[in-house]
Amino acid sequence: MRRWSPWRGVPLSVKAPLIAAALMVAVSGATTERVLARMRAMQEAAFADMADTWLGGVVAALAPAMLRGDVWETFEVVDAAAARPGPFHPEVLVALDSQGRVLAADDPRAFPVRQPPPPAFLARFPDHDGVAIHGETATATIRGAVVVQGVTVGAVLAEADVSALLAERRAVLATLVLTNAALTAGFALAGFLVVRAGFRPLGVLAAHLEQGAAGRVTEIPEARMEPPAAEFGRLARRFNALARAVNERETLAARLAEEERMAALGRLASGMAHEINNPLGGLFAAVRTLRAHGGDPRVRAQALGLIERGLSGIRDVVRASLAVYRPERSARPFGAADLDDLRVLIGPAARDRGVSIRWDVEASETAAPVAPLRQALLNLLLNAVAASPAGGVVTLKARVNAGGFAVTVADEGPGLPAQYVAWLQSSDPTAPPAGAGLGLWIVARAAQEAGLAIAVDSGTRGTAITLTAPQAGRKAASVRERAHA
Amino acid sequence: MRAEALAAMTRRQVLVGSLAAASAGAALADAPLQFGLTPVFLLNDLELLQALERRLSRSTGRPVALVTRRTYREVTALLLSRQIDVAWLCGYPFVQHRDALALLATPVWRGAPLYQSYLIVARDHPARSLDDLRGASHAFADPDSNSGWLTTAAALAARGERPTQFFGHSFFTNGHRNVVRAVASGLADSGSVDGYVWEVLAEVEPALAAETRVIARSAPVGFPPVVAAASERDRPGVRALGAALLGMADDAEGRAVLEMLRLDGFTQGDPSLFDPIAAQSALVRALG
Repeated sequence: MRRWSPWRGVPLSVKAPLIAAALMVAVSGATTERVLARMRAMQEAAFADMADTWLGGVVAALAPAMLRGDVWETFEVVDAAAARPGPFHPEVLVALDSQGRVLAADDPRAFPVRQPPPPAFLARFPDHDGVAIHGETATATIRGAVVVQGVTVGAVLAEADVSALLAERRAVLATLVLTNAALTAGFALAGFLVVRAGFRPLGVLAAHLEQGAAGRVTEIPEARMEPPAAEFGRLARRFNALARAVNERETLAARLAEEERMAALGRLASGMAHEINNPLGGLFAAVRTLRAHGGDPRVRAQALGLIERGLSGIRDVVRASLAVYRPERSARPFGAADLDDLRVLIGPAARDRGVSIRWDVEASETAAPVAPLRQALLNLLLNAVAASPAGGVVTLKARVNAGGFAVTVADEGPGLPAQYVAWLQSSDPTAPPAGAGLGLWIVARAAQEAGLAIAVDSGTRGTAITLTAPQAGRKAASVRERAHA
Repeated sequence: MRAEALAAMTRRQVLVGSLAAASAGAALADAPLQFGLTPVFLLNDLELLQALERRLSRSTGRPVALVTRRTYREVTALLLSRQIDVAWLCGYPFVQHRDALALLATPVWRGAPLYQSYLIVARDHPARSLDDLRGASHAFADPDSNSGWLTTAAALAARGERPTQFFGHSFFTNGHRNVVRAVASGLADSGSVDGYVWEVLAEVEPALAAETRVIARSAPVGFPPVVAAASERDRPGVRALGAALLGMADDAEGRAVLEMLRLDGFTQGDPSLFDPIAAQSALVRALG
């Protein structure tokens, strides 16, 4: 229903001052119109007064000569009146006799004596005594009757230049427009600054929200908040409450992840128990065989061999799990034995799912901390086995390349969703995207702890995740120190 | 007015009394001489009037009051009624009142006591002679002026025309300079003007004179003369004034006045100088 409007994208800090400026323009337009109209009326009244006074003097001077119809004396008065400097200065001054013919004019060539004036000239004058102002030609025309003892002996017509009046009007108009424009601009600027200052807390809030979107929600410090009573003060406090809730949930999720690790440990332990339990039946059977037929050296040797193989299997399982879950972080470097342990540990899960494990190891030594690397690889292998279809192959490939010691775990599963890929490769994988398995999260955390780079190549034909530990250098050393801390 | 009344009274005493007392003589000596001026020359120069007044007072040894009036007729009436002692009149009123007036002095202009009447038109007016001005508007100087009225009226009378019928309309401007202004401004198409005044204007106000063009010049006639009532001509004050005028060119102050007037001096002159004016007057009167 909402129509598109160019206004919608404009910030309020611009919109509000613009609206205020538009109102100012409207108000000043109306004010200017009123002022000019009033000024026009006052000017015209003042001009009419001045013209009246002037005309009175001229008529008094002309009356005797006009009464006698004396052309020369009328001319002398007209000529003097037209030439006399003063506030009112006619451009044209014509004395008409009682029949409306020219008795004398200041320009006799334009107005020949005893001839009626040109009709176009007469048309510019008011019908009765008085003043008419013609804006288009910037002139005023004045007509005054010359009356002697109640008898009209003629009339005086004067035309004056009123461009000064009009110039004054224009000057006032210009002053008003400039003043109003300056005021409007000033108010608009002030409005912009006030609104911008008013909305600054909103900007702080927006910055914190953006931070939150990037992973870490921080509360707005007290110093940057408005008092609780102000509009945005309350909003900032609401935001802080929200930030606390989000952070608490984050903490909770981390605890859940830890619990999940423990659960995984439990599953691993049960797997180990299974591994240990499997040979136990054979071992007890061998013990029973020894008890019953121990005298027979052939049987005894066979039973002891069975017992020895069973026990060494148990020993291998126990040793492998000890290396993974020893609580202290071992300072020894990662090596071939660790890879062998991982192969033993993944064995039962792979067999359960009918997945075969391919071991492609060309290098196995790295200075990277052993515990997080083993933990990350074990989880990658478990994930790969879980993702692989029955009969699939999970490959572990270990190499030393330009970037350092690189271990790749590849499966033939359906591939990782894109958001997991991006998250795994981000520099700060604090919180997993919704739905991500805890296994991936453990990988990410362990890689971060050990200073490992994660590269993911995932497609429909499978996923290959490579952990790269930089070869011996400062970074590796610092990582190791951090791992000790 | 009070001074004039006093002067008139003292004159009557002189006229009536051959027994003029010493005190009356003293009073006569102290009363200002009244010198009437018509607009025969450029009256709008106060400096000239003051210089003339000073010069005449010094020469006569008596105060001299210059009396100006708007029209020739007013000054002529003052003189004929003896309210003033002498007057600088036009030749026309002089011939009209030939019996009552006596010639005191005649100005000399450009070497002769003569001048002409000019017929002028606006600079761009096409007329080339009086005949081209039928129906045009015309500015006259004064109905008692020879050059500013009579000459043109007589020229028309010679054609059997009257100014009021010949011209579209005409009016009087009460002065020769005003005739030039009226024509220059376009108020009138043409004008009748004193040739001496026009020439002086061409010198002192060339921009104004240049707006007009002379299309006809009359025959030279007697220059407007200074006259007195015939009955008064031998009174000491009148004689002193006459002498002061005739001797104007004799000293620097007088020559300065003459320079302002653009005149060479004054001469006695002969009344016959004005006979052509009398003839013109008769011609106009004959038309009725």
